Amino acid sequence: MSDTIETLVKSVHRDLQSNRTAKRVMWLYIGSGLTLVGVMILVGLGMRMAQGGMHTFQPGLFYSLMTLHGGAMMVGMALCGMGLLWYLFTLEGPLNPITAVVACALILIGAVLVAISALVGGFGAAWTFLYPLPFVGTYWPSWATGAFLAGIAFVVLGWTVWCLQMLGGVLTRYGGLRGAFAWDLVWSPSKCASSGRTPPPPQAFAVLVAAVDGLLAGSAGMLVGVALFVRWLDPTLPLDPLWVKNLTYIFGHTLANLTIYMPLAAVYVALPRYTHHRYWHTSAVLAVAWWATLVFVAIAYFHHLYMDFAQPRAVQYIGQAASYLAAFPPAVVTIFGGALLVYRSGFRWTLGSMFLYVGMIGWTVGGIGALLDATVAFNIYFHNTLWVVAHFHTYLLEGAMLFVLGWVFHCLEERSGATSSRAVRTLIGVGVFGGGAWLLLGWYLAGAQGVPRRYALQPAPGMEISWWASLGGIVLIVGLVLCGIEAIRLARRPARQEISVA
Amino acid sequence: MTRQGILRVVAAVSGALAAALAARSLAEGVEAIDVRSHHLTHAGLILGGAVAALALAAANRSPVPPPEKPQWLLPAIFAPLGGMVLMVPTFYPYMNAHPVIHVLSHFGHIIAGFTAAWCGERYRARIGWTTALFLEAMAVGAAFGFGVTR
Repeated sequence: MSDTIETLVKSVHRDLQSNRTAKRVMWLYIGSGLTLVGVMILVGLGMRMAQGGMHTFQPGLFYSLMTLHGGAMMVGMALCGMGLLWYLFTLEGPLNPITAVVACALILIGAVLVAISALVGGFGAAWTFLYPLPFVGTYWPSWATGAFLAGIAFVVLGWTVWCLQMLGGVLTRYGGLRGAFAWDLVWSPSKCASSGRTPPPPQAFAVLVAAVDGLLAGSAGMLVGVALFVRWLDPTLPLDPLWVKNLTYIFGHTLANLTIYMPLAAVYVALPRYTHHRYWHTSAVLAVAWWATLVFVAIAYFHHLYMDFAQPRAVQYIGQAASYLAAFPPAVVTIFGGALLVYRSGFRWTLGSMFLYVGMIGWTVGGIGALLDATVAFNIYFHNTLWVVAHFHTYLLEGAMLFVLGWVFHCLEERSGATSSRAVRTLIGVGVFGGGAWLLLGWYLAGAQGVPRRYALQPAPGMEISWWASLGGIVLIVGLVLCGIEAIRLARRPARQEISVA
Repeated sequence: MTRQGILRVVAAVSGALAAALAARSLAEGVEAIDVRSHHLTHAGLILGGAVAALALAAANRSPVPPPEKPQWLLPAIFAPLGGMVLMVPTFYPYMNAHPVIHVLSHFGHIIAGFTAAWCGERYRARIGWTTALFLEAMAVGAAFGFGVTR
């Protein structure tokens, strides 16, 4: 009897210890990610105000800041999603924290190198580093290009380490690809039910898609990174520009897409906890939807190459079709499913649940903007205008970031057993959603007017729109500051349950 | 023959084929080979090394999946990077003119393929397949633009 108790006590100790470690790893990722995002929001507002004529940047500095803003935002949002997914998966199966910390460190070293390249060296070829921009007509020293490419290489290495760890975890936990994809649940449900095996939970599909598509993006990123790095060392090396562009967008577009799909896991896990006895289970429809997402996320990038006449025509059609089809799985399964989960469920509105729910709305709006731009007939007008900036800021700022904030507040609320007052929620809501919508509207309107993106000085009516849109940005930042203060208040409260086995 | 035996034969045959292909440059002497074909030859060498490693790993696989071994992950990732460094087209004219160094670099490709796959499998079951595919995809992909123009 005493042996059994001792074994149980040891096992609880071990579980508590590993859960504490897993949470620390998660906060390392989310903390560093949100810090990067916060600083880059300030940089972004500074650029928007400069476009509105509120102050001036040297044009070179504007493009360096734009490069830094894009790269660091991608890395910051990705880190948040990676940490969140990593932690959620540790609740399903063991993952080694050292591997995760190494991946995070590699990515942060990459971010520092990119920052040095942009801020000290003045590198300003945009985070998409489209060949031959990093090498031709440059106003920055050659070492800045090398530092930027090395920074991207470190980010790709860290990302690849993370993807391999997650893929290894999910394949081991669910018995290979067949189990991880819930193949039997879809094709032979009776066999699946009689086997006694439970299919992976919804968040495990996000892990699988992030890992598989992430590795595809990582291999493209590593190949193009090596090619550009060698081109930097040996300027006589010929590179096929269309080949470079395809690889750059397999890497960049897929990574940008995955930054949204990764924090989605928070919606699957946390949103049901605010309802009355409802939960998100794995169904055949959900599994098939994620299979479709796996394919379409990988091939939708072709819509970035509509203007490249040398691209084979067939892939232009694939790009158009995949962009449309990519919208169905999340719209039908996740967003519609989320709305049904909340409907008449006795939903508790807190800051956490509010962010998660509004995040789905932001994702939908940004997704519709993306679909319009991915339609060839519209793309003729919207290509490289501020419409592009509008749609990706919508689903990053008012989608992915809200999922992350929702998860952060969900953890804080669960830990402290406290929630925010209605007045605080209203103030934060007005700031983050109202200010955010105001800021985004400026990009949509300017894009529809044909104002080009990536211009320090914009043609009319860009400047007027940028001026008033900047005010929305200020309101958004006030909302985020309030959000930060509220998070600190909740974090300083004593934990609701102190489980002691001593 | 047992499954283990077959896998060991597969490993030996793929390793021997890759080694023969690698040493071919010694027999042929100074070669004039275009960059694309050269990249694709290297992809073949990498494939030989990777198949040998995967077959050996499968032959020695334990029935219970072992826990994650993080020390194997970095070599599994740096091997593909090393493989790509050996595929820098700037080195090709020099390699073509110096058969011994050319053959050594070919063995470097086999080792890169083997290391990526073997260390990946040691890190966690099935990850060797992934890292081998990762490297092979890069090697084949390089043939369409890395030092190559239309």
